[in-house]
This record gives sequence, C-alpha cells and structure tokens, in this order.
Amino acid sequence: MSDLIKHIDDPVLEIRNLSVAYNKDKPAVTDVSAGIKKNKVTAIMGPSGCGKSTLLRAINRMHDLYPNIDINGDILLNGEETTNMSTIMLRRKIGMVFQRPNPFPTMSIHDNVIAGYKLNGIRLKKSDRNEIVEKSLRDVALWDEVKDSLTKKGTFLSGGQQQRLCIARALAFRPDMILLDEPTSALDPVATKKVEELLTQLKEHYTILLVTHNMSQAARISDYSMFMYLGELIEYGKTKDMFIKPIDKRTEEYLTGKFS
Amino acid sequence: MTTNKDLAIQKIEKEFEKLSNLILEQLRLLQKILNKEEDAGRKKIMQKLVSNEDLIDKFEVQLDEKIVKVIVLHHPFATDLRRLFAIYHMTINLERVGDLVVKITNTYLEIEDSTMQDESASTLQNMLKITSKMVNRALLSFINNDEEFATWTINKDMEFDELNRKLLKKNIKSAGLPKESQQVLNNLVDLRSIISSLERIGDHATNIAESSIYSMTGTIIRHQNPKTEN
Repeated sequence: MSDLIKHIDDPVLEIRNLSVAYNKDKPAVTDVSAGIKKNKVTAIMGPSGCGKSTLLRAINRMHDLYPNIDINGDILLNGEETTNMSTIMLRRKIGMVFQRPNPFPTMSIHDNVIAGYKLNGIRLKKSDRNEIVEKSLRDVALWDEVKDSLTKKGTFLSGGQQQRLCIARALAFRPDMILLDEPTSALDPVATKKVEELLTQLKEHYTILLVTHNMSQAARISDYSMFMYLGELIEYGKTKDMFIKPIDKRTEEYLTGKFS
Repeated sequence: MTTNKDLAIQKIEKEFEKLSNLILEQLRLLQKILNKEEDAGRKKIMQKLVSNEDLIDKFEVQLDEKIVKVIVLHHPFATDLRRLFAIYHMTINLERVGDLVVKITNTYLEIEDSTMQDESASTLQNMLKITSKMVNRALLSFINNDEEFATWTINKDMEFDELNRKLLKKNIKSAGLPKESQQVLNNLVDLRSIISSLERIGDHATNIAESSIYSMTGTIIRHQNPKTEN
C-alpha cells in the first residue's frame, strides 16, 4: 500500500491488520489497516472480487454466522473493539444499507423506519416513535413525499424512495456510522442523484463508508477513497488527489480503465 | 482491450501531434524569411504561413471540442485526465505561438531594408533558433514522456530572457549613435515593451470574453469574424 494515508486523526473507525478468508485457500481481505475519518464520506473502490464488500460486511460483523470463516485483526469503533460489543449494539451504532432497497414488505412506511426498535423489542412512546419517524424521514428528504401515506406499505414507494426509506431506517438509531454497499446501482439517474445529494448532507452528522463500482460517483461524493485489489488495500488517500494523481500503478490502471 | 475512451484520446493525441508539426513548420518558415530568402521564394513562404495559420486555428477549435466531449462522455481520471488538460493548455499556447510567428513575419518585412544591419539580422536568427529548439523540445518532452527535455526548456527560458536584454543593449550600442540618441532608443524600446504588454492584456481580456460566451452559449467564437458593435 502506498504511504499516502497511514494515519487518520480522530477516526470513528479503526481497522487494524484485518484479514478475512471464507476458507483457508481463499483469502478475501488481506491485512487491511485504515482509519475512517469522522463526518466524511469514504469510498471503497475496486474491481469485482477485490474484497470491498467483504471488508464492509466485516465492519458490521455480518460474517459472524458464516461457517469456516477465518477473521483476524481488530476493528475499533470510537476506540472500542467491535468484537466486545453485541451484534445488536454494534448494528445500532453502525447502520447498513444494501445494493437493492429492501424495506420490510409487510410493514408500513412508518413501521419500516422504526423496524430496528420493533425487531429488538424496544418499546417507545407514541410521541417518541413519531418523532423518530419524522426526523429520520426528514433527514433523507422523504418526509414531504410520504407524510400523508405513512400507513402504506414500504414497497408502495418507487425504487429511489425505497432506498431512501432504507437509509432512514439505518438513521433511526442515530448511528455513528453508515455503511452503504453500492446503494445506487439499482436506481435510475434521478434517484441516484437524490441519494448522492443526501449522502453529502448526511455527512454533517454521520460518518459514511460507501462501496461503489461507479468511479464517477466516488469522485463526486467522497472525501477519501480506498482502492482495493485482490483483497489488499492498495491505496488510500484524499479523493481529489487519488483521482488526479494516484500513487500506485494499479490504482492508475483501474482509474484509466486498463482493468476492471 | 481498447475502449472508446482510449480511441478518442488517441485521436486527440494524433491531432495534437499534427498541430505541433504545423507550429514547428511555421518556425522553420520564419527562419527562411529571416535568412533573407529571395523574393520569389518569399512569396511562396508567405502563402504557406497564411494557409498554415488557418489550419492551426481550426485544429485549436477542433481539439477544444474533442477534449470537452471526452470529459463529458468518458469521465477520464488520473493520467488520462492530466494528459487531456495538458493538451488543452498546450494547444492554447501553440496557437499563440502561431499568431506570434505571423506577427513577427509582418513586422520584420515592414522594417527590413538596406539599413538593417547584418548583426541585427543574425541576432534575430540566433534567437529564433533557440526559441524553435525550446518549442521543439517542450513538445518532444510531452510526446515521448521525457522530463529532461521539459526541464531543459524551462531552464533555457531564464537564460534566454537574460541573453535577450544583453543583445538588445549591444545592438543599440553598436549602431554607433551619439549617447543621447542611444538613451532615446533605449527609452523607446522600453516604451514599446510596455505597449506590447498592454496589448497582450487586451488580448487576454478578449480570450476571457470568448470563454464567457462559450460558458453561456456553448459556442466557440474564437477565430471567427467579430460582430460589429457601436
């Protein structure tokens, strides 16, 4: 890895020598170390199979129940090792949004936003519930569009609205960080633009880590970028530097389309 | 695998090479003029200079449009982006070199007469040789990715500026004029330099205005006949 960024001041998340292997012969992530800067958008880029989604999922401990998986290294959230937290607590602090919008199909828009509370058996006063729903939907600029149809099913919404609903669901717990795995790849350009604008606004209050295949998107919305290749973190730097003058030849080749 | 973006950039690079060769040819033609080519040959050279100048202007506009297209359609990054921007800036500068060659030719033909001393003529020839070499090496540096040639040109420029000042003084001195006249001449040279600089500011203002119109309308109006105004 280039020495462009070795240390991030005030990181929300610190990844230390993380390696993930689905089986012993097939490492997916190899010895990755990086700090994720608070209130910034950091993009993880790289060709298919480079380990970027595995890295993202490891942060949220989504592999905990995978058989035969081998995970080494440490991940610290605000200085605390994530393995010392319950997965429930961890996922309240680190929200996750996936490639395809996945609102709970049987739940209303209202209930989708507070699904995390409901599924964890956390009882809220009606006024608190409504406040969380409104605040979260306002945060994703969806409130004005759905305030009169909160009782309708989440799947009633368009794809772009559904994805913003999923982001609202991740925000309902007021997490420290949001992980997004190619959140716009299933959306049309207008919906993509709305999500991108939203992420730019959300970084004021949240730290955002985004996996994207779309280099232009990374260039448009991220402050920092990581380039991964064959499981390794090859280069990590400020987006404005990396996209104009990458240090590693492999980053250069990826950005200029020499391989994908 | 060659992508559409690669092909588009390759095409731009080829066109840029053609433009570069045209500029180098203009400098060679100017050298012939300064070498006091015979009248018949000189007429042909002038025709060639003018027709090349038209081509240079067209190349500049075409390259400009093609670079914008690649940026819009292919979103280039890293070396692709840097190369395109370098070509964009170099094209603007090459076009200005082209303009200056024509301007120098016209001015030279106006002042050239029997009173022009051989020493002055040979001074101009030497200076042109150095500047031509600077342009040549700067272009080769880009085409062949040769940093040394670029550094040579940059260093030469500082050396060259100093040389020019000395040569000018020497030429005025060697004209054998009384001291007072030499002083008047030196002052006139300085005045001319200020006037030229002011003219260039005007030219740059025009360039800025043209860019402003491009920003508003998307139309490149460079090298078109200006609209009459009241």
